[in-house]
Amino acid sequence: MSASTASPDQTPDDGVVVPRRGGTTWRRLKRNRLSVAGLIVLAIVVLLALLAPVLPLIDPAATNPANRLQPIGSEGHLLGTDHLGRDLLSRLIWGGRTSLSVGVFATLIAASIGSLIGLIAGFFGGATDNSLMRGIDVLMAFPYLLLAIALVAVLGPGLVNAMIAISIVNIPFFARAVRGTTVSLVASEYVDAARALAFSRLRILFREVLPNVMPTIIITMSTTVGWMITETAGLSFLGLGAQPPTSDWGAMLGAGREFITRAPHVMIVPGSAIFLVVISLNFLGDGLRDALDPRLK
Amino acid sequence: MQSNDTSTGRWRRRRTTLVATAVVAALILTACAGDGQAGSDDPVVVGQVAEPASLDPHVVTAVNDFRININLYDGLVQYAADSLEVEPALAVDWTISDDGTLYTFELREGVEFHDGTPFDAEVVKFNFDRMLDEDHPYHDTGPFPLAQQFYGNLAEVRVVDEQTVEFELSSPFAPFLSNLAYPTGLLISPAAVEAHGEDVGRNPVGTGPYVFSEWQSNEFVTLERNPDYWDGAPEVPGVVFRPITESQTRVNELMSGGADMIVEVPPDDVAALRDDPEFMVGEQAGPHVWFLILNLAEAPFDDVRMRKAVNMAIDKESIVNDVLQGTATVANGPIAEAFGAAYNPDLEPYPYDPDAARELIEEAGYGDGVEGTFYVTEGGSGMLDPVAMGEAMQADLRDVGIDARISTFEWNSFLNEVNAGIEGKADMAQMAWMTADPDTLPFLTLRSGAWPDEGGFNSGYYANERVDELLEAAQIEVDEDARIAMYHEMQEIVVEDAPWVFVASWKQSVAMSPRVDGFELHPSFLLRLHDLRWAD
Amino acid sequence: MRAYVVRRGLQVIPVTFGVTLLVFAMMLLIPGDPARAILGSYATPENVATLERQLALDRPPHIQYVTWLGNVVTGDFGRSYSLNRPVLDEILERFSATLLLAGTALLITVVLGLTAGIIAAVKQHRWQDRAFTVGALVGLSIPSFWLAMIFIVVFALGLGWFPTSGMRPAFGPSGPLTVLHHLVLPATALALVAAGVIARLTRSSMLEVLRQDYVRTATSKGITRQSVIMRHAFRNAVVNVVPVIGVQVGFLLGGAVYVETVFGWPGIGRMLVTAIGTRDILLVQGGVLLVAITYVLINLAADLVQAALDPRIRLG
Repeated sequence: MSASTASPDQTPDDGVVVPRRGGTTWRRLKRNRLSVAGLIVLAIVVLLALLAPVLPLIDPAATNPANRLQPIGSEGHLLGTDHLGRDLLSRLIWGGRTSLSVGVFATLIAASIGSLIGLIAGFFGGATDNSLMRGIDVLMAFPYLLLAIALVAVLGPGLVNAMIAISIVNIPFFARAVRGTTVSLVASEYVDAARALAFSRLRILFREVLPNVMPTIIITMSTTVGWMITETAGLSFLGLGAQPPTSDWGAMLGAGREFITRAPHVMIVPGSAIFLVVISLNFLGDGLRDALDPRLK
Repeated sequence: MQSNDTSTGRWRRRRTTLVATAVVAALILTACAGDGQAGSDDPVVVGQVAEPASLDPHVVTAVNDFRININLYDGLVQYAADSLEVEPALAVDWTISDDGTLYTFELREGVEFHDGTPFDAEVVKFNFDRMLDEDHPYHDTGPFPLAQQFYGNLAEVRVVDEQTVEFELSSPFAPFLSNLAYPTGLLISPAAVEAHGEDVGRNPVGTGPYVFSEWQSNEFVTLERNPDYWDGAPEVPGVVFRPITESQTRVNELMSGGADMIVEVPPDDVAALRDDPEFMVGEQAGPHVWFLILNLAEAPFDDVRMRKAVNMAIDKESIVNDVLQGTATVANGPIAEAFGAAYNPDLEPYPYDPDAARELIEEAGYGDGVEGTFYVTEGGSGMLDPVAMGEAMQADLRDVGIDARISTFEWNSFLNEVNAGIEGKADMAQMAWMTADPDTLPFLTLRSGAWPDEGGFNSGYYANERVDELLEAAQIEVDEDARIAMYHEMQEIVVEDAPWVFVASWKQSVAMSPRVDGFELHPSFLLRLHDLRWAD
Repeated sequence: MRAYVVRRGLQVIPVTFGVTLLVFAMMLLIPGDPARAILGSYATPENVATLERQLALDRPPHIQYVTWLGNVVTGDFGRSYSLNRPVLDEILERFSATLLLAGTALLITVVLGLTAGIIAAVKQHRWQDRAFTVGALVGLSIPSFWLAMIFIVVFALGLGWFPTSGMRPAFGPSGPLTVLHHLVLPATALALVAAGVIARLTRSSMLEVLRQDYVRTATSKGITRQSVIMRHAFRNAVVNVVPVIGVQVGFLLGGAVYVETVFGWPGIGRMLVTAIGTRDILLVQGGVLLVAITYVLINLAADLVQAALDPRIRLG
């Protein structure tokens, strides 16, 4: 496999040593208007999701079949109702809780496991490196979504299983990127210096190397989290993710598909939400990358 | 690299080519978009619900496959045009011995299969032996999942002469004749089975009004008209079945002209298409019952008051009218109205009365609320809209203090879970059956001899001695009136015992272009296209 | 170059081995009795016993693996119980439909992505740049399953320009043009995400070169700007983009699952989703294996093309 593969949206630069700039990062980020807009949108969405239990929302599970498929702006239902007469606004916010937390959890899982593999492979090199990265190559040999689907086939459909599947398929992106950075760090002088001070290898790995790898991890997280939200929603859309009565944005979209001629808003509402969140994440991710690593601009 | 000016020139040229390509592509597309109405020389395109599993009539189990097979093959007998009564097809006449164990069929003369094989008594024997006789050379081209259930009593098929065949049953079995009319009784060309083995399902040869022409996986199955059909050649040149799994896509295809006729129209679109002069909608109630199995082996549904309470707590009218948009009717008991005489019209469905339900729950000692597990399937044959229905029921039950926790399963695993019995796992489970004979459903699901450990489908462990007696007697009763009286009594007892929540009977729906003529829905849910015409 | 080809080619072997191992493991990991799962719920005990012998299911896992691999290599993927036909027949038919869809989408991706990326780079900081940069981000942020539905509502049902589903008309003359007509919407819906990625990458690769000294020198020597773009910047962009195109093929093959589902395209992605639903394990296994092996080879091809274009790689 090519050494230059990275996350879906990343330039082919393994092994970038990223200098740490601390406070300047935020200043750089603030200059990028789209990133700031993305940040604001995300803040609002996250806030709504967090506050769902205390907001004056209609019970998202309360059905009212006689009042089904009401259009956007109908009385008492700002975004209308779905095929069982459930309030779409309420379902959107509660579903967002599910979608966002699943996306973030998947990212954290993929980032921790993937980064650990990358660190170990890059730091110890040799046979360890070889065997770990061959394993990663095998994961990369499957088309992205297809591996997730195969994993769901084994684990069985369900939101947690979909999340696990999506994390596993994203591990390689972290492993590759982190290994690249680690390798160049290990070769650098100050790790030599640390070695000269006879620090233990673990101490060097976690105290010296890890902090310097963090920007790479953060950049990779910011470029993959949007994908993970989209793909878990996609699995739910296909009926392989969230199972009723749990409902995330993907499942709402899948249900809305049955009504695209009669009530397209049932599909448009959750789809717009996914789009808005993902594009905000991408704007923010871009800004973050430029701020952390101006060389790539 | 060449000198700079050529490369500039090349760049320009390439740009021109790009633009030209785009223009040509646009022209092609507009040209294609223009192909309009189907003409009378065109086949009729039918939007089906799924890719057929096979076109071997003895192998398949799904209505989706039956809908094609019924147009390719004939059986000895068939359903009458508008009921589930049996009438002659490839058998012109038959006699049944007084003890109900010997059936003698006189066969139609001069009929040939599409491959030229003559139809005779040997053909009939081949077909049934293939399904039932383990030593038959082509028995390994199965499996034949419905054969035992439908024709298991068949002891021997005897060729009397070329045009006469005798069926000897090991014991009398009242549903036998209507089972022969079921699509599993359709007859296939022995020569085709010999030639293709287990792949005969993709190379089907029958005697029916249409001849198999082509099967493109997941795209279409094409049939052409049979000019020599014994009952008159069809008028349209052929029919094409397109597998369109998603119901919304079927509607889209009908509206955009990609299909002339679609089956299983989504409820919302039935309502809208009914009012649209551009389309015609046909609806027909079928021999179908949708119910909830209650777990009688454990609390709370070991108490009949609780079972009656859930029957009254669930708003069935709202489910059939709102959730299902009028594509089903409320069921009053275990036998569907489409069965005609066997259906007991005097029974009233349980009324929607949450107050009465709460009282019963109070009496039964569950006034402080009760929890239970509710098995729901994501979708399956005859299950209508199970998730939406399950969620609506969940909400109704919550109103009377029953907290039903939904667990959903994919259809095949759902069947595995439920058919094995729900004791220790669930308190309620969705289920639906569509059968050819009023006998089948109660016999397999309500007798104590049909508990899961006995190999039956009584997954909620209902047992009532009188019901057992009635069902066993009805199955061997040759006198039709006596049989019907037994069914009526059985229905009264079962409704009173309430081992199920009786919910709905499905109305089958088709939507078609008004240019398609000569089609009538049949209560069997089959799709007989013999009389199809293009309207002028 | 030859050394590189051999070295890169040899890398395929362990990867392919790992892929077969993983795909084989699927069967072991699925809960329940594999033979019963393969044969479906109507199988007789004799059928089950026969199959268990054939697949060596009563032997240790490594023997099972070798037996399975032997069957697969000789083209025996088993028989699908839900379709009543050999798995190989089904997956080859379905895969060709997917390749047609993904291939067309790839073409759109590359043309659209390169064009947008080049224009954005050449017009850096001008409105074209901003429009294409934001456009690319919009493209790669839209969930393709949602875009596909919107396409149907707008272009198929609303404007009536394209068919709503399927790959070709159900009867009558069906040539490349009618297939193309059916292809437009699904291929475009599938392509936009990948096109966004390619556009962004093209832009940054082009800029990297345009900023370098020798380009400025070339420009100052009187060579026209367009020729510099074509000769150096574009070439550099292509070298960087080619391997990513390999990766994008993976996204197109995976993303095809959604688009095929929404458009009723008879491809392998939709087959896999259905097969998971019916627990047709052999169909899932065969489909995943076929797609993964193809993908490995496509990546190999992409790397070799890149090496042919860029001597640094084959020497490095």
